[in-house]
Amino acid sequence: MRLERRCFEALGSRCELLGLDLEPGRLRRVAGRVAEAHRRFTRFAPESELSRLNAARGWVAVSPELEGLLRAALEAHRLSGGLVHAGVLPAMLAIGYTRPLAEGGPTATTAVPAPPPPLPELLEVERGRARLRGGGLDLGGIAKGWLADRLARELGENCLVNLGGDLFARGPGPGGEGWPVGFGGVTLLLRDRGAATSGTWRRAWSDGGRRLHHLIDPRTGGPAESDLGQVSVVADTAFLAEVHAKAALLLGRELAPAYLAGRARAWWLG
Amino acid sequence: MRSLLLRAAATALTLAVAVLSARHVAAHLRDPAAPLHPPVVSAGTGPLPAGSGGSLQLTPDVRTTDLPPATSTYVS
Repeated sequence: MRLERRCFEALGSRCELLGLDLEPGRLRRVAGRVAEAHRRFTRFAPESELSRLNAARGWVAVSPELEGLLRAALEAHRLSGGLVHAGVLPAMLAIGYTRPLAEGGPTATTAVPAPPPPLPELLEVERGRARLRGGGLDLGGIAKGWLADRLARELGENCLVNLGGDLFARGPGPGGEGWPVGFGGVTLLLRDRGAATSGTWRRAWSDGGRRLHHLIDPRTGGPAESDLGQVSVVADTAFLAEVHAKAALLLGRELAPAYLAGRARAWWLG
Repeated sequence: MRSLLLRAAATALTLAVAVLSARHVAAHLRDPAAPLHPPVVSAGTGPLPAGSGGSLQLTPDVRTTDLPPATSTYVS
């Protein structure tokens, strides 16, 4: 068996593609798909497809890729009871998260956060088009898991796609029992499973002595104030793992286990 | 008569020790913070300590391994 690996930066994160006995050129092609998704889904570039949707009021033609991700955003909102909310862009801007943190610190803010309305009231999606009724979308909370699931299907029968820690392991892996994946201090064997981690200690900054971070709680419109710093989840897909990790983190240590039971295959609360 | 008293005393002592031991064990099982409480290292039966001080829960269809990880999930 021949293991191939490709690492690169995209989606504001480190990305990793692994595969066994892949078709020639497959790694390069899938890496190109990640770069394309980054250009399409980033909210930081005014010419991206997502930025055009955010700027428009009224129906906008959308690519099948963006349409799929917007539908996934609505599904994430439904699955999490509204906790995973792509319509928190105004809240992110209000706390100063206006540019990638790699390009400099957040801008100062004095805005008072406000909870967004439920996502289905903000976002409508039809075949080939979508419209926003106010607000704006940030798809960073779900795009990596959603994309990892799709790209694993494209990459090969025995592969692993890890986009910034949100990953899908497909097939039997190098040893035949699954791909060994580091998870909460242990190594798990994952086969046809997704895993993701949500936390508040990365993409965090201080604003006048107040600690801020990128994970917005849609119930308050402000950065989440959870007694959990990090949650990792294994689920049937990377998308589900990402949704449930985020929702569990927002729910906190007392409610997270009950939420995750029946939804997740494994979890780590830290 | 004396041997009967000795037997009764031994029986009473045995019963008392058994009851006290059972009460002690039951009390410690219910108290996760009790001293010398053994760490649980099994899948699907309760939280177990993980590397960074968190709690890990596995359902029976997820297995751990001693193999080095090919990659990891992490916050990004």
